[in-house]
Amino acid sequence: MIFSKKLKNYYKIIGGIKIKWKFGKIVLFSLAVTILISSTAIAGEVKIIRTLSTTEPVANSEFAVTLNVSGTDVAGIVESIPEGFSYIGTSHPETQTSQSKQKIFFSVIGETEITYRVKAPLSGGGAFTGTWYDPLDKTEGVIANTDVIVKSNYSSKSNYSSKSEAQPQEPESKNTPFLSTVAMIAIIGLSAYCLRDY
Amino acid sequence: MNTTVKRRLFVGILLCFLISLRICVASAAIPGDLNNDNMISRAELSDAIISYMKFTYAGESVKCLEKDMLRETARKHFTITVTDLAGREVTVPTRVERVVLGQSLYIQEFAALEGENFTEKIVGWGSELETYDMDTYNEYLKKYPEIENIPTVGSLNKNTFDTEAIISLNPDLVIMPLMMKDIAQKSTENLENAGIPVLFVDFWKDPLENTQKSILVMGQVLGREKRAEDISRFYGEQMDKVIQS
Repeated sequence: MIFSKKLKNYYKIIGGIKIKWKFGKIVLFSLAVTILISSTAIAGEVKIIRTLSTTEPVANSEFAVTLNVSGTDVAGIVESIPEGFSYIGTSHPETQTSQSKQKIFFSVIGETEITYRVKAPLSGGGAFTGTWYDPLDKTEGVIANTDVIVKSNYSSKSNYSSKSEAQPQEPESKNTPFLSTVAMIAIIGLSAYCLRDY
Repeated sequence: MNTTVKRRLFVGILLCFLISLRICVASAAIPGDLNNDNMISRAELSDAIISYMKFTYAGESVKCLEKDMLRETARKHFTITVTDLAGREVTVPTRVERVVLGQSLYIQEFAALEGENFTEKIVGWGSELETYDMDTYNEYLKKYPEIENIPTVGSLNKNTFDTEAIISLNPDLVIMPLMMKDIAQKSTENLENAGIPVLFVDFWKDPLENTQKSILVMGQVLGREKRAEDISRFYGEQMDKVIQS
């Protein structure tokens, strides 16, 4: 209650406009919902994040794809590489790796990182996609897609300095998008309802 | 077309249908144990996982384990080794989920470690509790009526201990009393040959010396180390009070 009053006053001071107390309550409620949903999604969750050494590989060049695994000791992973791209190899144990056309299968048994190498075609692009399965907890999820586009040799030379390393992408889980969407809709709805009066 | 031909045709169609569905198959005593050494090696687990991924997520026509079987394979791969009260090294899965209490009188210690849902892990036990301590059995029965359905595996005391019945229950672990080690020697060998670890503990032979050790080793194999330490500490404190008085 004290905190709520402080929050109300805080908004008055920094905003310079009069905001109804109801708005404070809605903000608090929204924050609580967001924190609750975020914390349940994070606790004990399998996370697999894909990082590419580049998302704009030069035509016919090789680049590295790294998968960072956390939250599990054992898992299966299927990585799909875009059409035209070729799987070259991996530092992951051979007995824990298998390839079938554009799909690469990995078994994770205690490892926290898998790196494999891919060769880009002369042109084109596509998305790296992935799926994981944890046999102990019988849970599954998807690894967030990573888009790549091949740069021609000419443009790569002229724009060499602008070539950037791909940022790791947050993993997606089949359990969380729905909750996140509900939370977002709730927050947006509540905010809209509140702002309706102004 | 006579009946026999029709029957054979039906069986043939059914077989073709099943093959076309690429049904996952179950195999071996420990699923995924390809060389039948009662252990799941890294290569065996990897093979099982990759086959499952190929079948389930890539639609490839490969033999693979069903989901529950794959879980068993993964569970049996991860193990810990402890030294029991008989001084033997015992290797058990890190996630022990199916336990046979060779002596059902160990219900007290087991329940103390496992807490409210202790009955979920007991897949079989000796008949001693009902035979020698009916009052305790009835008290437990009032609160945990499901104990009535726990299969009994005979009794070491009565020489009716049924090793085959235990093997059929597919436990991760059998907990036996150290006091019965000699009587249980043949059963222990048979169980271990079947890939079922046997852990000897002692609460009766030398209770002052072995009670805390037994609780701690049970805590290790059941994944209840913290709880075991708490019980052991409490036991030690109470024993100190008795000794001081």
